Amino acid sequence: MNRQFTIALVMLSAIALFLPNRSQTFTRVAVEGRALRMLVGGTGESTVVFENGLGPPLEMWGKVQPHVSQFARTVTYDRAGVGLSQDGPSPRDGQQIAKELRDALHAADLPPPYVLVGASIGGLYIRVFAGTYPEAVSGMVLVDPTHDADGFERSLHPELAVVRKSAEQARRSRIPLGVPLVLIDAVSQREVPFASSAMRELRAKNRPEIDVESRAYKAWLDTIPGARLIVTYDSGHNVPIEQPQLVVETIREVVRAAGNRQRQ
Amino acid sequence: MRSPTAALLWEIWRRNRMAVAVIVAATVTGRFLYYAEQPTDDPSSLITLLSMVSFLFLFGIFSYTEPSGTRGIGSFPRRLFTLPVSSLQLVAVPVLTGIASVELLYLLWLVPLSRGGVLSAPFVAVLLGTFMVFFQAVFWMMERLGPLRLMIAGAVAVVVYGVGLLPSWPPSPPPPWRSEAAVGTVGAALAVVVFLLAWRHIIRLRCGGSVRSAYRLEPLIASAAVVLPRRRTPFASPTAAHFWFEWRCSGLVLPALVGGVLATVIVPFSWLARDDASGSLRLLLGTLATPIIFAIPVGMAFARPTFWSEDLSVPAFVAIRPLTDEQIVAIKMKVAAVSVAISWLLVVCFVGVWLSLWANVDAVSQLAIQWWAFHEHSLLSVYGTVTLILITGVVLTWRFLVSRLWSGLSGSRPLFMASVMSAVLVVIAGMVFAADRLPGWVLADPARMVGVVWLMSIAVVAKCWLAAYSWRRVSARHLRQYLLVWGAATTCLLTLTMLLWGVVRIYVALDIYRFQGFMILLALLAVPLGRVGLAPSCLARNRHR
Repeated sequence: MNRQFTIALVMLSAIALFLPNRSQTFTRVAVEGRALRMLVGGTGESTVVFENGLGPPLEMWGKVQPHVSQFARTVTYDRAGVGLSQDGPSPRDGQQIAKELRDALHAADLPPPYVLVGASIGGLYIRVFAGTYPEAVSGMVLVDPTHDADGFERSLHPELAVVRKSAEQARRSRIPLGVPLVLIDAVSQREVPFASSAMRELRAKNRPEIDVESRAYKAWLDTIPGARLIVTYDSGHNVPIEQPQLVVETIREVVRAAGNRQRQ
Repeated sequence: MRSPTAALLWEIWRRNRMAVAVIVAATVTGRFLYYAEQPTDDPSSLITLLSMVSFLFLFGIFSYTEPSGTRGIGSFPRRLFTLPVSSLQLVAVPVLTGIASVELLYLLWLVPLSRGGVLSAPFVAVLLGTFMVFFQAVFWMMERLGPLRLMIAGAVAVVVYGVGLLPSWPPSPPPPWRSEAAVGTVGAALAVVVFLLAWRHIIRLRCGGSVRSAYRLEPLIASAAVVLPRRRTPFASPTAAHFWFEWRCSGLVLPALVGGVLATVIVPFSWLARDDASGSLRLLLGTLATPIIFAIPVGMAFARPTFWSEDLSVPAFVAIRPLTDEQIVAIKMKVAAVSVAISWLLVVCFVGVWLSLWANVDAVSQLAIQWWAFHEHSLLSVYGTVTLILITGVVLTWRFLVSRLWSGLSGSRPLFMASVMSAVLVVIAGMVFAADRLPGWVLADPARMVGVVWLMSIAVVAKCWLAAYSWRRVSARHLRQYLLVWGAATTCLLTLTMLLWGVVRIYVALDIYRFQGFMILLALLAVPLGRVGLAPSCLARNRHR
């Protein structure tokens, strides 16, 4: 028998036996008796905490977290009722989720201050967190956060059903003074490849809504000293997936600014 | 017996008591399970499986054929020709009993099966009766085609099923020409015509007319064959001659089946779905799956020494050829490759024309845009993925055509049947244990994923060492050639699975490293490695006994 083929087979067998041994280490933290799944990575002075959008599990940060872990400690987690975490108590509004996040970080022995990163509806939750626990926050990145919370009252999704309440809580929450804050506004390209004529019409129809949202972001950021707006035309709503590098660089900027502020 | 009809009915019952017992047992169990389980929109997979088993056995009974030789599906029972009954009775009794039985069985399964269904019960009953007539006519009138009749009956079933879906296709309500009443009437009228043809055929047989004489088209085909260009140049080598022989015997089947389904089922449905975005996407996926699905049953016949024969011994015509066993196996694999290439060419040409001319591409373009956005706006990623999907389709189709060569060429019926049954069992297990829910079950608990990945890892190691064992007698040249094919196919599959992994890992809660291991092992298992090495040695034993 051909020796080189046998060697190749031995190597293939070795790879096959090695593959099952690779695994991620998730942390399970108990909050009010419910297990939440958490993935902690990296090391650094700052702790970057990611808050998911509506629906996807912590894996939605899969293109961002490994890069941020190179310069900071990172924490992604599944909110109660999301991914592999157990369901949480109702109502699933901003206050409840912010409290659960604080308890989860405490249970995982991750002390403040935190740089908070929230995508979509997660943006509302980190605003509530910052307003409720201002001393625990050292920086914020809002990634195309939810702005318009109308029209979801009849949703069966426990978070969407109370999203108006969460939005109101976020509006009432004051961003701690001097905390670096950057908002990424994803405006999306006007023309995308592969779009059918029906899709082009739909995109053109939705354009005014996107413009209204952009103006609202700008008006809100004008009220916060030092806040910065980044408008990207190269991404839709899923910025952490479509433009992960932009998110990573923005977090790097905020982590650096937060570090400088703490040293002062 | 009081009457000839009673005698014929008694004969059907006497010869099929076991099958009837299975039908009764499956039906009773299915009904019992139905009442035991919670009401949902769809019947459970086990109930669906039991209903399929009972209907399959019923159609098995009413194929109403008897083997004329030692093996095979057989033909209309010639011994009944001596009975003092008219030919009409001889044909009508099994046809009408078949229709009555299938309607009765449908009635018994009506409640569980109609849960969540959109077609009315009378319409389904008409379709079942129509199919029973077509099914019997195929088996009686095409007896010269041997086992191919099973494929034709399957194709007729697909067509009847497709026609049955016409009234439920959007818009709702459908236009009059494809309402249930119109389609049912046409089906019933066709069934009557087919019944008359079958009756005429039996009369001819009974009068001493041969099967051959029943085919009026044959002289026409023969004269056409004379006129058509035929090969006159000698073959360059025995290998070329055998390739041509294999191609004519078995290579054309898959392209013909794929082309037939495209023309008779997919083209009409693509036209009906021209305004429906999600329907077009589903049809596109079905079209791409067609060659792979057909390759599974065709591969079972392709693995045998002679495609159309149920005899597994190597025919003398092939055995005495001046070719080594390795060469014969290599030729079969090349024929399979050409067959797959032509089938996929048909699919790609149709899809290209369809998508550019009359398809509603909204859902497809939405998918393409998401893929483009996910890969950081790379057009190359979209075109590359499409290319990889097509290559993977070709690889999988070829894999299903050749993967049973070792058992088919061995000449051992138990081994071949075990190999075939393993595929059937996988399908049945997939239905009983609801394979569509399997990913959810595995992902729900990370510990399950660990077990699955370890099982696959052990399977890959076993595959490697089986390959090492089977390669002992294979020449280095053939081994190098095959490993080149295996390497290219596996690399392609690995690339596609890694692309899919990159997308899925963002949306599904799981351990990404274990999932990556799972995908890599899956790609390594997909293309056979050792079984192909076994094929020449299996053929050698069969050829020289």
